[in-house]
Amino acid sequence: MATKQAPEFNDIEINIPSDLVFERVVRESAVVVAKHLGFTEERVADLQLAVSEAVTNAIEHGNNCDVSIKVGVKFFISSDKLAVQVSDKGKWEQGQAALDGTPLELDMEDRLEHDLTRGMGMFLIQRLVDNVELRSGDEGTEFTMWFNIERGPNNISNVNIAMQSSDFLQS
Amino acid sequence: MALKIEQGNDVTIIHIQNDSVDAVSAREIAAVNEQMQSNTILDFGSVLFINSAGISALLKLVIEARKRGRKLYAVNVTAHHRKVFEMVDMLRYMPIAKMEDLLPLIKA
Repeated sequence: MATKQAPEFNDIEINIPSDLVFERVVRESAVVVAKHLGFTEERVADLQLAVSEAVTNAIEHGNNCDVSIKVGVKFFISSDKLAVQVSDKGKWEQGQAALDGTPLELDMEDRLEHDLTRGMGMFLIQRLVDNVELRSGDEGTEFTMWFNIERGPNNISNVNIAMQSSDFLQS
Repeated sequence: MALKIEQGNDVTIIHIQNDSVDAVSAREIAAVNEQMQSNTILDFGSVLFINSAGISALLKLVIEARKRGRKLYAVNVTAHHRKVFEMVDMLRYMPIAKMEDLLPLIKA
């Protein structure tokens, strides 16, 4: 009898209402995906935090916490990379400048002096991921983060990944 | 979010019993500043996740502690959270300690 091949896939999609309560749905899903891909515990935590920050930005700034508008999250998987794309309906006109201008270090003393407690999300994302890309226009914003897949010591993956990766993953 | 607060002689221990310090729980965290004493210990033993919204709430406690000349400590912090705190240069203002090293404060 021929062995039935496990189904292949290379993308996962989640859509959530723009309410911060649902940000957790996405970050927990990111953990599941990362573990299935064999990420180390450290890298799972990095991915979880970066995804959380990106989704929070999309909810708060992209969609202005309007629960009638969804934040879209797609996980694109190849043999050596995971791309996480977060989409919202906002137009981030200063987005690229914000990315380019993200400091290498935070001046916490300055922040404390001026009571600046917010605005660390993009800084954290850029420190935690391997690459980012921003596309923003009248139709909305797509923010993509790339993670190189470096498997943990057990090098076990439960995922049967379709080796034909889309153009999307050619970053 | 559940916070268990112990008040001692000039020391407050705040056990964060929720597994996430994030936008949803940030408000409750920031509100404990009224209960801080000269030494305040934040116990992260149950915390599995902290994001920048949670860090913002913690920073509000740091700002309040600075203004009033109070000391803030973090205990039972995971390796990943330590890394994040280092990234945002938080450890200068809320150092990580071992609970046993803070016992002299608690027993005073």
